[in-house]
Amino acid sequence: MTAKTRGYGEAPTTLRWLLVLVVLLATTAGCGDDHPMEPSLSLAEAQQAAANQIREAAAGTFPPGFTLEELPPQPLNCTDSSGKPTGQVLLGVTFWVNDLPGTDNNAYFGALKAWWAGHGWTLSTDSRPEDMFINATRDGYLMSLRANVNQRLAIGNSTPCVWRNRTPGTSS
Amino acid sequence: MVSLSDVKRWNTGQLDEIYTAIRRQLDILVHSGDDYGKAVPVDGWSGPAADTAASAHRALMARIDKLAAGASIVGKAIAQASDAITGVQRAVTNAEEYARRYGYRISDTGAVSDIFPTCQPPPEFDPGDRARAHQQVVDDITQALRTADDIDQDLASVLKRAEEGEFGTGDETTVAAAAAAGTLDPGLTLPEPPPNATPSQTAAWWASLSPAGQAILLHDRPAALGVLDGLPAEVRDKANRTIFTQQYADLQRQRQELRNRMDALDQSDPTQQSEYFDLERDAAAMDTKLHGLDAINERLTQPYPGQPSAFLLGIDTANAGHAIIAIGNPDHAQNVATYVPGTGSGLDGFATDIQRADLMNQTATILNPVPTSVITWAGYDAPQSVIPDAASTSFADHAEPGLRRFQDGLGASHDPIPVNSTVIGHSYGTTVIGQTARDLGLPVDNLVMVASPGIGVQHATDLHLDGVAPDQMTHHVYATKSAMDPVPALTNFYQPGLESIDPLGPDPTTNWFGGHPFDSDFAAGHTEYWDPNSESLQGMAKLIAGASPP
Repeated sequence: MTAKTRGYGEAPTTLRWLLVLVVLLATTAGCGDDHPMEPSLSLAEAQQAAANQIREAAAGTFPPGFTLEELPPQPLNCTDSSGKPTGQVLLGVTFWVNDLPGTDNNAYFGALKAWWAGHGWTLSTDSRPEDMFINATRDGYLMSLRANVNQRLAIGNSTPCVWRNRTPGTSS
Repeated sequence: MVSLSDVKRWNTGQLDEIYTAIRRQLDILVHSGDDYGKAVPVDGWSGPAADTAASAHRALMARIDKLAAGASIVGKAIAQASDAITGVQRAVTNAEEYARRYGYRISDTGAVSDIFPTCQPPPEFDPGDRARAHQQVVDDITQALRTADDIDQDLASVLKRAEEGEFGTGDETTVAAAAAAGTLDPGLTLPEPPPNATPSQTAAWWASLSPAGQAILLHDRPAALGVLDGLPAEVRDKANRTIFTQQYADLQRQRQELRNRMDALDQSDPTQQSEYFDLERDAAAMDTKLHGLDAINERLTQPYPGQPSAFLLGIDTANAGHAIIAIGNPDHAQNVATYVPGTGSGLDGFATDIQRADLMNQTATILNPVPTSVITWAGYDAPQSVIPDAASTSFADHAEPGLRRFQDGLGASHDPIPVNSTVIGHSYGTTVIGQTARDLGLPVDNLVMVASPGIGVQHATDLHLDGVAPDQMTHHVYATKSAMDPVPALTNFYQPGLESIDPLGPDPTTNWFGGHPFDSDFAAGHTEYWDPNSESLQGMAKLIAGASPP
């Protein structure tokens, strides 16, 4: 068992934590939104937009005959840098991609990456070949494609932070 | 002392027959006794002979009353014993099955021996799983015999007291009343868990009780059961939902009292303003807690269609509040993760923590579609401010025993199947799990540090996981941070020469720490690691899912 070293070096630690406090206070803005009090899409509208973006991307990526099977949507409170909820919320929507011919998943990842490039999305992550996972952003939305241990594909998208009912007053 | 072979031979069918016979004879005794009770006095009969007859009648009625009271409680005790024995025998059967599964044998004396005494067990047996199984089987058998002994002694005590006529007064108005008086005695009592029981012993205690006994305890003592590590998640959930309802009502009542006191003050009176604002602040704190409880209740009772069930494993509204909630039943899951939130955690931010757990559960289950559970463990007093609280290690110091015990409890209540277990800390939560692994060890497979200010050690090999050799620890510690996150950036030196003066140690993502760093999205801040479709969530989910490490 390692002896605890509480107390040793407390002064520099406190100074560094003060710096953290200053930075956190200076960056208290939710989910990267510089104007968090402005009206937004409603959550339902943002969810619909995210789902539509997935359908467009899937249609441009997978061969005819594929189907999408929706998983439960997952909301997430938006928080400021100190972890306090801003009142806004974002939502993740995910679909299984079913009825795909063949098992060449890598080709589908490449096709989606190309579709993103042609439709204004900015690639953020491509973890292949170690991990069959890619994601890209556009206008605050974050879309991903992943393959699971059974080589089944799931495509997801998440909304930016929005007020549930468009404005702060009706969101809490 | 009851032996294991005694317990196996115990025949509840015979007890049931005895109970039926006693009830039959008792019915006759009550019926005939009350008829006989009306035989005296005889109208028109007086004098010495009548007096003698009345005296003899009273004496006989007193004996009948005592007999009825005694027969009544003996019948009740035998029925209780018959029921309680089923719990003990089931516990023994399950322990024998558990022992067989992991290569152990239980002798008639209750001793647990290895069936591979002279050679190594086959490679499919994980040494850590076998060690835990051995301890659980030993505890199961020890507790089964303890409960059996408790049943035997309680029943013997009732029989002895009945024989000595200790039940009833002998002066009841009717024999039926005497029989009813006998049943007022509790008869057999349920055994308590051993003093200072380990979670494994607690699990064994619970397993040795009959379903009826368990139901009685759940009804009578939910507060005691709700906090017992080692009990099945479904039991703790039922107990804590009862506590939740009580504590919610208490908070509502307290808030109303505060408002009543505020209403009685004149806010424009300078002499009353200070008290008014104090009450207003307290009421606001109550509101915050109630909102947190509302979020918990919503997830427990109104999940989205397709979301896994949630289990309330702990709730306490004192101070900032503690809560432990599992998304998916951890007892049956093949992948179990515990998420320890950091600064500011408590009932206030618990809604967000539950959502993060849901996201981890869904993403991990997408990657590996097997039963999965992700638990938010806000079971400690977390620092509530960045300065000065989060600069102190004392909050983590106090959290260590609770986190270790909770993890032991998860193991004790888990189905006897292999499990991939992960503990994930965020921010100060990484300090909690790091210090716990440093000082007490943790019975899990992997540790994940997200946005860490340091975890209380200089190197991954200073941490301890049960069954993991020190030189292998580097393969079990994972860490991530965003390049834009100020917390790890400003709370670590990033200079190997200076790390030794940092009480929290280096950022575990540094290459000299010895763990496995994995990527987070470049632009994420300190709280955005769980954003759906993010690289950081993918990395955590891979570890939870037991897929190849990120």
